[in-house]
Amino acid sequence: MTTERAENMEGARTAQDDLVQVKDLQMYFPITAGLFRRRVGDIKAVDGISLNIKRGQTLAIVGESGSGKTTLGRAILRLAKPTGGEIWFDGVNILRLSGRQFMPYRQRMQVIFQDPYSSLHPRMTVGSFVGEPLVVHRLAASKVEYRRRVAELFRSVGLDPAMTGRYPHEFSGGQRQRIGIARALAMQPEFIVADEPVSALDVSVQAQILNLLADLQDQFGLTYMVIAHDLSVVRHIASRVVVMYLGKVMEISSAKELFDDPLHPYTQALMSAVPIPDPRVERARQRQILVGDIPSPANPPSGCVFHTRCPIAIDECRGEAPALRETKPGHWTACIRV
Amino acid sequence: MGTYVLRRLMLVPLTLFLISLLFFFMLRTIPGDFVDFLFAEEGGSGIGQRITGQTGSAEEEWERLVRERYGLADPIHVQYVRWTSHLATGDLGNSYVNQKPVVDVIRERLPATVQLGIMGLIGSVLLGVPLGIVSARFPESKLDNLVRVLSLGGLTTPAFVIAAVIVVVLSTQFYWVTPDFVPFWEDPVTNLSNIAIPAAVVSFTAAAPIMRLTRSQMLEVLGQDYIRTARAKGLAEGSVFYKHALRNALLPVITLIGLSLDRLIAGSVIVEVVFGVNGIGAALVNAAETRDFPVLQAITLLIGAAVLFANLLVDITYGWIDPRIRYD
Amino acid sequence: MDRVIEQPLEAAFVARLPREWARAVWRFARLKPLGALGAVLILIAVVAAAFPYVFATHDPARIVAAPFTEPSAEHLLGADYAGRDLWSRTIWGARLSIMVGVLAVFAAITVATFLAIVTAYYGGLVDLLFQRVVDTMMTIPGLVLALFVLVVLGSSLNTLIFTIAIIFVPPQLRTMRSVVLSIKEMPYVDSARAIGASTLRIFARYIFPQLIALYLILGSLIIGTAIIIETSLTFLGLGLPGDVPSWGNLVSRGVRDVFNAGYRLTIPPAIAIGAAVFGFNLLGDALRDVLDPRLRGSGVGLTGRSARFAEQIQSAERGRPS
Repeated sequence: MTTERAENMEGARTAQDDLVQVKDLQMYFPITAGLFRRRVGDIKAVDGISLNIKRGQTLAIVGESGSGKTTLGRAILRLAKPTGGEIWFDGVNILRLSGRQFMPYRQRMQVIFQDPYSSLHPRMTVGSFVGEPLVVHRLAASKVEYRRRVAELFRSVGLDPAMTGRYPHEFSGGQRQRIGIARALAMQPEFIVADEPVSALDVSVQAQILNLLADLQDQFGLTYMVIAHDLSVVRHIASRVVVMYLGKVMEISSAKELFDDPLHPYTQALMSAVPIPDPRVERARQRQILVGDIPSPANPPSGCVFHTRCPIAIDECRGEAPALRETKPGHWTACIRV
Repeated sequence: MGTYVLRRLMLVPLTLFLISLLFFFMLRTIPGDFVDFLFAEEGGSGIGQRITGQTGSAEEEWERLVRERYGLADPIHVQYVRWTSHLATGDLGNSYVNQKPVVDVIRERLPATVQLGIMGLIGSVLLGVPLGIVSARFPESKLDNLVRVLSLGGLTTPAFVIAAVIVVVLSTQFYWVTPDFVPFWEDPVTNLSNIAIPAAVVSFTAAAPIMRLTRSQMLEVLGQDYIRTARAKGLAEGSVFYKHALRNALLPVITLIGLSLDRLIAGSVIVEVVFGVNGIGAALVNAAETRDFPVLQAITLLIGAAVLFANLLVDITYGWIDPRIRYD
Repeated sequence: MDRVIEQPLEAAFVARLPREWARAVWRFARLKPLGALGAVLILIAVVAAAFPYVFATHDPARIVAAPFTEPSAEHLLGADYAGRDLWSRTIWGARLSIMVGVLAVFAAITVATFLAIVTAYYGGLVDLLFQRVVDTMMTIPGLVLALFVLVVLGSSLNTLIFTIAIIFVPPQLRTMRSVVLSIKEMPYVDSARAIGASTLRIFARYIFPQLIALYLILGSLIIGTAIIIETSLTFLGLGLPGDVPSWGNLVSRGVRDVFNAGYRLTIPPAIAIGAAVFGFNLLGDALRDVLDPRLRGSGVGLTGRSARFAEQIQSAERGRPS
């Protein structure tokens, strides 16, 4: 009882600077088998994740495909229903809200999708696609204001407002991603989940989109959660980083600290896959290459889920899942060897 | 695989139950049952005397007696339970029209239809697969175009049109009349002269989709990377085509062949009527015309069961042929 | 590559200017000459169906000559057993066949689309129930099912249309449902949910427009089959009443009169049926190739090899029983 109240109070206090808090979030998908489709187990896509995102901050979620990062993002936006845990947005547990009560929060959090080809409605002009949120939430008082707002949105993502009458297939990948961003901005959100926002784009375009995201953050005071598997992208924009593996958090720290001193062996392995643009350093450094594939989340390894691929695993790693502990100030690691 | 087959097997009785339920109730909800139909055709007392063997009752009395005689006086669900419990003992009831047990009707009619179906199936495969292969072997050639037009013709010309034209030509040019059906083992010549032409018509209409699928699958497979690899390593074109491509292309074709049963059935219903083959399809149409519910129900159920088992067989074979398919 | 061909033509569906339409039609004709041929055949049949009195030389129901009159300038195809003009009856037959085919198919696909959206979007028990009913109905060949329904409802023009519509709903529902399920997973539908769009809005603006192309493709593919079924049922004596000048009746009567008139009375309506069905199939195939390359293969819904393959072919081929 007391602890619960204490937690609530802490929730209220930290809500001042934390826009989003995720507490012990679980997201299980049932596996069925046999004649009667009995539930024989769960795919634990997200297995007990807790994290905070400060206002104005960019939190990056990093991990291989299959680590549950996209599912986490969908759960925070209430596009998927979690199995357990809490999601607090600006001091409110949004999982407790009804659909109607949640509507105002829909406006405050938006999403940018990975694939700019399948995330735009192919039969809607890009203008009405970008302007649709204004219609849905009645944010424009008149036709004139609607048009002015759409033009403004186009300009803010670096597109010519004259193009509003065209269809998505007339645009390049980078332009399409800008259109997606413009739509996300239409409701003037505070928080944006960007799910691999640049991984489908050409490298030359990637930098433009990342810079655009950074500019928009400055301009509108946005808070980002960026999901990525590419650490060089993360280094470019993130202030804090969460490293995920098989639905669990391996390491959390500020971006600078993580890149300077990765403590978790999984993070180290990911880091060593990032090329360093200095041939001398590149030649001198030790490469850690992960062997094998990520295990099936339907049947995760016992103990530390990473031990099957860990270069420094010992017998104890099989026993119990290591808790996330503060290994350095503000730097949390889930590894008993650190 | 095992549980998958088991699950599918369990679905068979369920689907059959649903079919029987659906059709039984559909027939009995119509305004005007068989008795009304009879009375409208022949008028009250005559039919009443013929069927009940009694004399001298009033019109309504006759109707009640006749209805009782046919088991149509009870509530629908009682009729259904009675029908299914008889079904369980292999008794499908008697035909309304000639009082013959439906089982006998089916036993009498089945051989012709089964033979027609088997010959039609074999004919359609022998026609469809090789033509599809040849067509894909020389795409866009004259031969290919001919085959494609032929297959479109098979798809677009209704079976009854082809059958009708053949009957017309045969009877006007050759004064040919279809002999009655005789089992193959009794008199092969008469049997074949009865079945061969109808079977050819069924084959032709059923061959068209097989031909088209074989061709399109061959062409699709030939565009795959592993075919390019096979060519790049210098394999002879014939070997690439027949060894590498054909095997993969035929998998869906096999499925289609198994699933063309309903096409065969639809085709043979028509063809039996046109050529006067004394089979199940002709019996079905006849029962529909005379509102002979017991026969209609029994044949529908029979056809449903046949299609269900064919589908099941295809599914199992398919998983067995293509090791990539896992059922669980 | 598909994307390049597909999208400009897809855009024609949202094109509002007549000029854009004309250009799209022209490109379609260049790209798919066979499809254009099909369109021409259909156009001829539709014009004949719409204005039969323009082309018919006589009243189709009136006795205007001696029975079995030979073809002449006055009676282009001769006269039937009663002395009615066969040319005029064949022209009027187009009206019945096209009307039955178009109305039945329109009704069937509309119902199927609506049910598909509702069941696929909501899932759950309703979906399961519908799936079972669809499975059950698809176990019985279309023609047999139609026989049965016609026995129940009695033969008339309306019941014939209704019957053909009923037998087309299950296979179309299955195809539509699988397509709705795949659209539902598209990120842009997520994007609509993320902006708080209502379910109705998602149906109307995100899912339904994606089905329009499929609607047209399925429609033109199965109208041919609907005509086959209509003429077959009529031929069997269970469709339209015997005296009505429909193509099925004309062929049926021609066969019966074979010893009086030879094949003269059978061939013309038979050709009319073949040409109309041929036209719809050609156009349907071409539309499918151009508008939705995902559906290419032997039939609609055929996208690749999977355990569901069997069902997919079945639903595709069920569109066209003989």
